[in-house]
Amino acid sequence: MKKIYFPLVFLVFFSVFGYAYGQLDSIMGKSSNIITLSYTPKFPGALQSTTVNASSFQVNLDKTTITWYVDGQMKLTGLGKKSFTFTTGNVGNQSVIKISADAPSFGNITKEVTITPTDLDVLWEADTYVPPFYKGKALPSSQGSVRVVPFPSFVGQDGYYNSSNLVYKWKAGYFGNPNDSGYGKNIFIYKTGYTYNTDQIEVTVSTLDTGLSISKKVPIYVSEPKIVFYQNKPLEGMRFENSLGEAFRFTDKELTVRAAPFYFALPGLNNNTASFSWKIDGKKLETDPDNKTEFTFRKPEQGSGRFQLNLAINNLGYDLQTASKNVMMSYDN
Amino acid sequence: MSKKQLYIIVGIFAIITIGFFLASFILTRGGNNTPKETGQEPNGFFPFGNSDSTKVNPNGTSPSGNVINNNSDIPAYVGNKDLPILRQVTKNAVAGSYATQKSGKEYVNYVEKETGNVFETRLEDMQTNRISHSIMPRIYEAQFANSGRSVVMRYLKSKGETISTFVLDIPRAGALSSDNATTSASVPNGRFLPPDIADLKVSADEKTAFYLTRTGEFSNRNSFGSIFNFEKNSGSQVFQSPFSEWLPVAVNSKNVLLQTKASQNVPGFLYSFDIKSGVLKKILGDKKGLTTLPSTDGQRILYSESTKGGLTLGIHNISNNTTVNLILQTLPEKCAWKSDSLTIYCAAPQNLPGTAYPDAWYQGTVSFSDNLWQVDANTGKSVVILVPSSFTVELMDMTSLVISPLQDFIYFTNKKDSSLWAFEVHKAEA
Repeated sequence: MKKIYFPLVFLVFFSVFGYAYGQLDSIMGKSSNIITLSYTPKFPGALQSTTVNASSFQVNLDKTTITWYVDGQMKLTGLGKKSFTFTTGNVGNQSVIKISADAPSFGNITKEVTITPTDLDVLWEADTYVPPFYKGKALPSSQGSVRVVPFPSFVGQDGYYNSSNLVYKWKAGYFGNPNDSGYGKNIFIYKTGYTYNTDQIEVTVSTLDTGLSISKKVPIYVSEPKIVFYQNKPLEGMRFENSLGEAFRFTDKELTVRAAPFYFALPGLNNNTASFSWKIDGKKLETDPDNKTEFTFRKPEQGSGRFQLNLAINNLGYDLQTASKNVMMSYDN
Repeated sequence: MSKKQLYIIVGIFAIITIGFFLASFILTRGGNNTPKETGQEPNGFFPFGNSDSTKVNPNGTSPSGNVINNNSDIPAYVGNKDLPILRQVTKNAVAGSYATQKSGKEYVNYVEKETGNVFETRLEDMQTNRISHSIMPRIYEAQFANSGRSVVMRYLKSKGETISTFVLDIPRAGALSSDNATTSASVPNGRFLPPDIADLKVSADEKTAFYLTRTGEFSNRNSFGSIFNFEKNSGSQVFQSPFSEWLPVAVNSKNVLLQTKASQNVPGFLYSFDIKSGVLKKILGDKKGLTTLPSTDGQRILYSESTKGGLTLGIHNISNNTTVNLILQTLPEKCAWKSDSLTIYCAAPQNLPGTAYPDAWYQGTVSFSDNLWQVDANTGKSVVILVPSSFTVELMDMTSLVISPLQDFIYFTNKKDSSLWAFEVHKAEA
């Protein structure tokens, strides 16, 4: 019998205590522990749909009339309305979510939670070549370097947090990078995998004092380098607006072709270890080491004809950083 | 000494004297020079000193009959009041254009790529006037500023990898200011901005320009943004970032809108940088291949997003965070907002080739054949207002659209050859 008494006494004690505590909360016009509020996502961003859930071990919320308020304004009311979805404000704009539940045994119970939207963008850039004036993004290629830079938006009482004063935790693929992580370490540099791989880089950013934290994972796709031919006109200059395409007919006496080695990891167009192999109809042309990317062709004074121009680039020291491009050049007089 | 010998000596002396004066005349007249980046005021390099601007007839010839541009195959417009609503302003490639008006008449100014000369064309009769004689060949990009009194010219230096940026001041007294064709002397002035400016955008009020430079090796690279004031002729740094692939898409006295450089499979972002507080606030984000064009009042963003092999276009309203989706498949770089921020003109390809956008269009590996559309920014309703093939055999890949101050014309560059065109939009709308 003693074995039965102990749990029974335990249950009665806590039931009475819980009821008394609930009544006390009701009398005081607030309730701190009878109802729990939780929300998803865990760290809501700006203008993001966020769901707040109410739960209780003591009150049957399914049989309770629940009213939801956002910043003091009633938004939802009804029997058993245990969850409520709203859109957060801009970064740093707090939303106070309050619940009011009329529980038969406990009277009116209230609970509120303050949600402060945070935000995290993760930008990255590759150390690869794109031509001057190019408006597009330089893409990473095999075994090239990539810099990842997070832009967290945390707002505290003194305004936006300085990104240098936050704690960063980096992870590349499945592996954490403790040496690159820590206070103020807001830049992560790594070498990409091979072509067609997608590198997964994850960063968690936290404040030192307020417990705000946010994580984001970004996929970084490893591209193939490529060659694009352009015309370099004597007076007009580079015609980056239009590439030469698969076939090109030249009418001027001279034609200067510039090769743009897109997405190759090159410190400079001429100051590099890459081999530039130019060929006309399969015959190799001698390359000017000070001008590896350009060739000038003179049209024969008579007749017509065509020839195939080929350029192959092999970036030594980088596996799979190779590309080849053909263009059929035709002329007549 | 015989008379014959005397005649020979006098003759030789006369020939030498004439030759001397002829050589002096040619040398003092001076050749045109390209300015050099010496860090000094390059005034001496600009042979602006001619007492008149060269007047160019619409058929591309100067009054003396010398051909000074290649407009000779453009129909003669003088005296013809029934001009076509789609007109080729230049056959030569232009680096940038600027719309202006004087006494209720529309003008377009432009920089010729081959010479760096600045021209001005009056649209009512297509009369063209050269307002700068300075030779700066191989200009890639030009932006007018300071009410058209300055031009920011950008070009590649000889090795072809370093960008030079020169601010040329144009004294407007030398421009075609009235029906009177005579022009007065203009004094040249200009200055170089720092070398290797990655990108530059003139502000909406044209008083300043925001430009980006970057320093350091890749591992410790930093990007710096500076504001250059055309009147004060000075610049100051206002922005610093460990990320460097920014494009300034709009500038005013308070904010700079910075877009990340776009690629098809990479999420792009648009931020507003507050010049005073230094805070960077996101406006749009996580949209693959994002490219943007803010409205004149800054309240809406026309943006494109990449899809697999294509594009979508939409208008984002900043104040109420809503979006209007458009039926057009094109890039904001091919559009222009009207000053009321309610109407957009967009060039859109008749057929969009399936490839990676915007990368392929930026790289010039794909080219379009466009029609011109008018878009209601509130409803998204889009109407075709120009089918270029109805007027010309040339295919148009329109870019750099500019709406004239009186809203009568839309100027655009044909990306296929960088020629400048004018479309008389008010007649098409009527």
